[in-house]
Amino acid sequence: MKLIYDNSGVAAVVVPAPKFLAQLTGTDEEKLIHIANKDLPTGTPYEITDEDLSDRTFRDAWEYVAGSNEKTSADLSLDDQLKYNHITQEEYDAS
Amino acid sequence: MSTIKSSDEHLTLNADGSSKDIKFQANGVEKASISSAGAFTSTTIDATKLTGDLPAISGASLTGVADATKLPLAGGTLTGDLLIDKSANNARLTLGGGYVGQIKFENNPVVTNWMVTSQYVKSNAFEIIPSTAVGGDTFTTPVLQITSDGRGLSQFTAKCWVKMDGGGTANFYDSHNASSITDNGVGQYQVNFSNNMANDDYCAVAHAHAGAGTNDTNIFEMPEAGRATSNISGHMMSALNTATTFSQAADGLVDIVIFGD
Repeated sequence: MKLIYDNSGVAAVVVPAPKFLAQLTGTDEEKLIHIANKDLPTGTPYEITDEDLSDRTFRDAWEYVAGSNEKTSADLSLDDQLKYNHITQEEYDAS
Repeated sequence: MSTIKSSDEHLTLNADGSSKDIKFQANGVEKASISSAGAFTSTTIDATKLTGDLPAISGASLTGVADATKLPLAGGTLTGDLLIDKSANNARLTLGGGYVGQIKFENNPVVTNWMVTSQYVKSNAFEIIPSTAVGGDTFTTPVLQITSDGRGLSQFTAKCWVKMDGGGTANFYDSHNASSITDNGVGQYQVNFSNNMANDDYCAVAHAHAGAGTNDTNIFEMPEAGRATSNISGHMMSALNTATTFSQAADGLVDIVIFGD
């Protein structure tokens, strides 16, 4: 499964690293949501898809169109922000 | 010499009255007594005359009973080797029940001391730390941390490495400290780090390969400045078939290795 979202008019495709996925718990969808929250800017609309996107014909012309399952990336928890070095220990302690 | 004795019967010394003791004196000085409660007190007891086993009494106040062949629970100095029987498969040295275990290597005073420790600076890491001063006992900055999720943090360990294929659906052959690839278009990729870099002054080295011939030149162009701490992005550029100009390439193999803080 992958994430797709609009990146300045072109559809971006986010492919998880298998080793990172293996560290996560939960369903496949929960893991993809976690990656979206971690790797997409907060507030980015996206969708999780398992469509075959290997045909890259006119790749730069691909556009993201919102579907019925669109989600929006959210902030990680403070614990995860500390875990992924998004904030320092001092910032964590002050929160 | 005077003797108090009985003849084939009990000898009774009786201090009559409440709380009256039986006292023994020598040259007018009391040397021993038996209190009305039955407690025997003596100025000295000749230990060489004692035989038999001690009863279960508290030895908390005993002095002068140290065993030079055994270390005390705290403060002793082991002068020989510490040998742990390795014939047992589970032989191990366990340090501390608290949250920090430490081994300090105190060397000749004219060189740096070292500490090998867990969770001293970083909460989930095994750490190697030199003393801040020669012969010192202050340890602040690790030169190597190994985290519980398998990362080695130092100036000489790769913070991230990736072998990926940008063709078809972009995918990883293998990776370390990378959470995902963002495919932004033809030859445009972004590798998202699992754990952010400490700053954007990291060293990123990349190799790219596209084209089937031996006369192709490919590069993976990364930003000179303004890099993100959460990812590294770049463009794959190719000059195929001895071409002299580069163009944003068809998609291919990219290797990236990153060192930094």
